[in-house]
Amino acid sequence: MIEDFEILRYITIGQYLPGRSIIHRLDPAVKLFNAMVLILTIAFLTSYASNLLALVWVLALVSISGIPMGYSLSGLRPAVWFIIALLVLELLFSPVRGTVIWQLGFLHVTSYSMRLTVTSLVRLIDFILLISVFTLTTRTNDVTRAMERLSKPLQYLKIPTRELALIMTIALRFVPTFAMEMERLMKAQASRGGGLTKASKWNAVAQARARLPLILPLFLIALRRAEDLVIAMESRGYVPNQERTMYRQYHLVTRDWLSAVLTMVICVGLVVV
Amino acid sequence: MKLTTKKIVVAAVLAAISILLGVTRLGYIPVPNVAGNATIMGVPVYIGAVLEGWPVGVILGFIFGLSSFLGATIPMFKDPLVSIVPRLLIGITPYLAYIAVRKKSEIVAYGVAGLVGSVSNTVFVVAAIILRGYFTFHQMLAVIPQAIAEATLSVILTIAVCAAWNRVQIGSSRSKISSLPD
Repeated sequence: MIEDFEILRYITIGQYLPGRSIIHRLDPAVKLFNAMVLILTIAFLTSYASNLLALVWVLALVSISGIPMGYSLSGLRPAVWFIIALLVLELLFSPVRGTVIWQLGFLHVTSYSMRLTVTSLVRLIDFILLISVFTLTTRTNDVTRAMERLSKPLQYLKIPTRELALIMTIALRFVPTFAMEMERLMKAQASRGGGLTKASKWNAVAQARARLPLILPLFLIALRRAEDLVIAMESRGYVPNQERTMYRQYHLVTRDWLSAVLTMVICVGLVVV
Repeated sequence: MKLTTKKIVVAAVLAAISILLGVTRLGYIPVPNVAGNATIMGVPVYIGAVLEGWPVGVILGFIFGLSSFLGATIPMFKDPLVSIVPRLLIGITPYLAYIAVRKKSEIVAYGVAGLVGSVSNTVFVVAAIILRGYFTFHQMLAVIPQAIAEATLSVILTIAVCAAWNRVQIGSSRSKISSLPD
């Protein structure tokens, strides 16, 4: 019963596993760049061979970074049956393309649907591992600064990248605060005999109705807090769209350049294969 | 595109809510169908677009897409072209709907913004899934019950939050001393 109200415990954003691996020590902006290039490349791979090689490289990165594999894949556990159902659906009901391998009535496995299913499973594992390698080896502050530094060229297109980074920082800072507010709201309503725990799990209408009295006050609390924060920021002299100095300075060293070149070479290799 | 401090902060708190609804699974309502859950994680995007304009909507759409990409456990949503790119657009459509209807009635405009936002989210994401070749158009028709649930909830939440925030009266007005006849 009481664990129904423990929201904070399940929030894993911003988790960081300290370590001394080369991946931990890479410059965060370079790390983010490498991760993005790899993810975009993997998203477009279609052949078996290239997907296999990508998986090998991702597994190598996981072992270099020293993060526990089981921990990064644990997020998949609740969704495992759902993923299997989707993959089976993809395997049996995709449009007939390529050669038919197996057929029973209207069910058919073609070389196309087989490849689609295998590659989407491999891609899912690749992405989950890559994202956890990046997020578990980088501090949240470094992540938002890295986004800001990488997106600097976009300023010439009048895209407010500094402000975007600030928005991310404030948002991540507020997630635990709002989680606490939410716990408070849930307890307040449960103590008056209402709340989420009363709704049956598969009754979508009841579930939706039970959420409304939680989510509405949450929005209003958030907007009220926003007004307070605006006053606090302005009274401390915050002016948007202006160059700011930073306490923490970053300098690229040889290993950063090497890692970027290596990632590019691997991506070109994957596309060629 | 100039952002004021207020726009920055409102975008940030709404993004925090979107992330929170995602990680606590409170933003998902189980609807029995192939795609699993109806999601109300898009609602902060529509509310941001209505309250602070389309730039805030686009930023929130990006953050919503990013958190959906990072947290996805479904193969097709672990694809930035499905989870992020379509979401950039869902901050613009509710804003356009809102300014188009605002002249007629403020409340109706909130509702239309929620509806247009939710429908465009479904349409753009489904289009991206079909274009990327995960499923065909006929298979994707199975998301219709979920899309209806999402649209209903978006309309209710967008109206309720925006009206409460802008202090627009809904229904019969409360009794006030000043409105009593002399």
